[in-house]
Amino acid sequence: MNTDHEKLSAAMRRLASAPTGTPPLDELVRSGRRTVRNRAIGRSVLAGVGVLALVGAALGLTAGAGDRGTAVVAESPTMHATTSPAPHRATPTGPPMRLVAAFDKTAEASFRVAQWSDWRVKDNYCDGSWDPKTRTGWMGIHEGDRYSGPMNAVFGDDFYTRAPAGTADPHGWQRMSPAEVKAAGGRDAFLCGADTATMSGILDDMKKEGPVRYVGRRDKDGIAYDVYQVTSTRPVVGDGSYDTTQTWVRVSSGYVEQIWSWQAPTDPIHHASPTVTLLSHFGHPITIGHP
Amino acid sequence: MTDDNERSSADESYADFVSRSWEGYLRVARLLTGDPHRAEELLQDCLVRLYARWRAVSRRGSPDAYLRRMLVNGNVSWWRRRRRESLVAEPAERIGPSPVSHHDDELRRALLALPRRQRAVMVLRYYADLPEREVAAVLGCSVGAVKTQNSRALHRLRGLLATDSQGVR
Repeated sequence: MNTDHEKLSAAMRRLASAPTGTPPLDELVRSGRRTVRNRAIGRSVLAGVGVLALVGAALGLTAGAGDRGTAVVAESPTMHATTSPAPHRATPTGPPMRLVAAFDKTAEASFRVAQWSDWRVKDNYCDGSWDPKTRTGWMGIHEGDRYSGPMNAVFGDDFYTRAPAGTADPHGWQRMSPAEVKAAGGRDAFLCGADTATMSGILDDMKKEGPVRYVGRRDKDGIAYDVYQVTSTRPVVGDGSYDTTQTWVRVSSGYVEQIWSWQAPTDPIHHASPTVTLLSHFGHPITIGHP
Repeated sequence: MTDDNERSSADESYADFVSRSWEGYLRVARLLTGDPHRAEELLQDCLVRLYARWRAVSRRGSPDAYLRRMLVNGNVSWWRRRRRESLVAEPAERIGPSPVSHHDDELRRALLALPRRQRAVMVLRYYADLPEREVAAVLGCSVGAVKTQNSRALHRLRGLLATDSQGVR
């Protein structure tokens, strides 16, 4: 076994042996200082009353500005440029915030999620659907026009996964044991987060972060939404920053249709203006791939 | 000591730490992410966040353990870093052309096919050479869980490597 250990160690060292260059020390220190400053500002905002004004300004959700239906989703990434000037938008009065995610729903009973978790990687997103009536769903990770991550499928309590094309996985679809599912993050992790994208799921999640405010009822394209909002009262686990989340719930269905999240930038890369355009899956058919 | 002096001294020790550890942790990040660009982004993300907590972390004398944990968590949570956006799928994982041997390339692809948690165990155990107890501390789980993940990962790796080799022949 020791020999195996040594062989594996040696192989890994060879794999990771490419030159590493030197650390961008000045930029790291500058960004670190900026993070400290932003946190201090964020705390004072949280202690005050500026959260709604701040998010409202960042969103452009003043009367009329947000009433553009899905077009708002498509335009939003450029609305929340942090350090890049956006002269046609209201200037945030507090720490700069950025949009990090939005969900879209396609139908009443089932929904399809298009999710961009990282603006730095263009066209890299999660795509999937979940039908609570039949309890079936699938998801895949796209990079550009191909699947780059494993495909996952859920049938009731059965979970299947297969590796993306091009990786060494001779087994095709594999059923996962409950323990493996749990270790991987549970049902939600197989559905682009869709399982918790229900009103109760989201609100439960939001409650853990701080007091949830009911922002009010809003109309977009003649559809009524109830808007709820929370700003974290402590740094988000694993990230170290504060963020603000809004949940838009369609009044007629009770489904969360869009989730917006802003986060104070924490690193040099995040200061770049997001350029990804959100896709809308409205009107696209939902297909279930049986493993 | 004034605030300015203290800041300067903290900056210096932070810079020392980064200069000293950059190479090693970038390599850990490469193995964790499977992508050299993502690895550098991940490490920079973590180092910026580390700066914000540097005084407390360095005072406790545990910056290595802290950074290691940030790297693993940061990689695991890349797709699900916003809690509600929980995803388990792998992000785009590519490694550009590299002068590795065929066998090493097989290993690279097999490693990438492992679930992130198992890959983290592999990297920490076999690359960083950490004992199981420390791997458990980094991953925030029990030693037993590390053993289980380790065993599963090895089993899967063996299967993948064996099949891959057959395919090549």
